[in-house]
Amino acid sequence: MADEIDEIVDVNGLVRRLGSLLPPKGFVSSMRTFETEHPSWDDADIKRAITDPNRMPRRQLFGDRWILDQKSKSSCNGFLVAGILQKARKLRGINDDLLLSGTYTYAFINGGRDQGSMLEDGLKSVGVRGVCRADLCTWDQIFPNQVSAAAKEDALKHKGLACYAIQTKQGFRTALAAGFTVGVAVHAGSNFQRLNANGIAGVDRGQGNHAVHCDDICIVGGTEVYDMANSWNLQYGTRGRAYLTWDSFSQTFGNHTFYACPSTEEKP
Amino acid sequence: MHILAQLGGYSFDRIALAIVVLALLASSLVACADDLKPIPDHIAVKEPAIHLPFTPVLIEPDTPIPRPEPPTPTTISTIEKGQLYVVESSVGLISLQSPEGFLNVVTAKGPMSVYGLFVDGGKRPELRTYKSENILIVTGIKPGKTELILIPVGVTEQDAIVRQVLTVSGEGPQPPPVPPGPTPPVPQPTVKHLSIAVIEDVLRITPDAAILFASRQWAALPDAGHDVMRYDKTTSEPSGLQAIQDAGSVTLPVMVIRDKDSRLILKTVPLPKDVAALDVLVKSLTGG
Repeated sequence: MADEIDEIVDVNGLVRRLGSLLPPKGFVSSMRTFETEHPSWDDADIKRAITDPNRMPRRQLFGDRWILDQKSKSSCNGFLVAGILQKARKLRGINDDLLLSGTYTYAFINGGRDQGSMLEDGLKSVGVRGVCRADLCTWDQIFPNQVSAAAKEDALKHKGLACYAIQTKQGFRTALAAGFTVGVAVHAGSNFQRLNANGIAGVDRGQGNHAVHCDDICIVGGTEVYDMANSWNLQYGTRGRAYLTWDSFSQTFGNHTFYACPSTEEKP
Repeated sequence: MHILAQLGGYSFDRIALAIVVLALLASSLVACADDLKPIPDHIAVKEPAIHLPFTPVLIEPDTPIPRPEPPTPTTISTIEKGQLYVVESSVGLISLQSPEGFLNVVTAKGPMSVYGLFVDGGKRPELRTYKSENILIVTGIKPGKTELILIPVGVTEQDAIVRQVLTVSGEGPQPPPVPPGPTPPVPQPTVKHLSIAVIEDVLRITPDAAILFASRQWAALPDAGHDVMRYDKTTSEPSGLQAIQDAGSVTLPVMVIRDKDSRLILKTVPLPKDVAALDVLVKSLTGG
C-alpha cells in the first residue's frame, strides 16, 4: 500500500510523503460554492487591492513561527487545515499567536493508516471535532488512539471555520485579494523545490499530490503569483514559502477542490 | 368535692363530661387554625429586582426633616445625547428595543463606578458607584422614540418584564454657563486605548474594506495597544452578539468603538473608507 503515496526527498534529505488523495470520480463538494456566496471581483478591483501601497505582505505578517512541519508523515491535509485556521484567527484579531496541531485532524481522517487523506474530509472534521493546540498532539501522533483527552477537549474551542468550495480561477483570485486563506493542491516533484530568482517555484506536471495553503496574492516581476506556505519547515523555499503561478494549479484545480476560508468561530 | 358537685344542681359526673367536651373542642379549633390558608399581604411591598432611574433622586437624610409631602418619584423617559441612563438589577437582564436603532445598551457586572452625565443628574459630569450585580448603561444613538424592554433571565411571569418608553432627544445636554474671564483650555480626549469591534458580512467584503484590513495601519493597531476584533454578522460568539446589539441597525460593515479601559461605547461608525480616514478617527478619540 505504501506505493500509493508519492514520496520526495527534500533539500535536507528528509523523505516527504505526499498525502493529498484525489477525490473519487464524480465527487461533488458538499460545501457551498464561493462564487455563489461572494461576488467575484473584476480584474481592476483585484489589481487595486493587491497593489495598494499600504498592503502588508502576508509573509511579513505571518513570519517564521507560522511555518509548520509535517515531517515524515502523509499529513499535509491536516497541516493545511491547521495553517488556515490559525491564520484566520489571527486575521480576525485574535492575537494569542496560537499554533494548532496538523496531526490532530489527520488522525481522524486517515482511516487508521498513514496513507494520506482527502482535503474535504479535513475541513469537515474541523466543524465536528475542532483542532487542538500543536503541543497537545505532536507530529507523530497520527492515530485516534494516540490522541489524549486533553487534546480533544482543547480542540472543541477551535471548531468554527467557514469554508467555501472555489469553482473558478476568478473566484480563487478574489478570495485571496479579499484577504482569505485558500486551501489548494499542488503536484510536488523536483521542480516544486526549485525556486527562481523571484522566489517562484517551478511547475511539476501531475494531478496533484500535496495539500498546502495560499495566504496572499501579489505581483512579482510583473507576474501575478500566489504566496504559498508549505508545511516542510523553514528549509523549504524561502523560509518555508514559495510563490506559485497559476501554472502550478492548471492541472490540479480540475482534480481537487480548492477552498476559501473567510472566518472562524471560537468557543470560550 | 361532694359539696361542689352539688352546687348549681349539677352532679360531678356531668361537670367532668363537660370539661372533656370543652377540651376536645379546643383541640379541634387548633387543628382548624393549622389548615387556614395564608391571606395575601397587600400592604408589604417587595424590593423590585430592576431599578430604573427616576427623578428626583431621593436621599434619606440623617435626621428626619419634617416635610408636608415628599416628591413623587417619576420614571425618566427622555435621554439627551451624551447622557447615561443606568439600570440596576439583581438579576441578569436581556434587553431589547422596539423599534431598534435608537439606543446603545451596554451590560456590565457591578459594583462599578461610572463617570459621566446622568439622566437623573445635574448638568455636570459626576462619578457614581453602582453596587448592583447587573448594570445596563443605555445611551441614545439618534433622535426618536423607542421602547426599552428588560427581560430578567429565566423569567416565568410576564409581570417581571419591565417596559419603558424612552425618547432620545435631538440635542445634547447644554454646557454649563461659561464664567466671565479667560477662556478655559479645551479638554483633550482622555481615552488611551480603543477596543474596536467590526461587524461585517464576510461574504460581501468590498475591495475598499479588504484594502483597509490588509493595510500596515490596520495591522499596527494592536501594536499601539488597541484591541481589534472582526465578527461576521452570523457570529454566535457572545462578544460578537453584544457588538451586533450595540451596533443597532446600521449598514455593514460597522465599527463599535469602546474605551478599552472603561468599556464604555465611544462611537458606532461605518468602517472607514481608507487608512487616512481610519487614522483621523483613531486620533480624534485618543488625541494622537
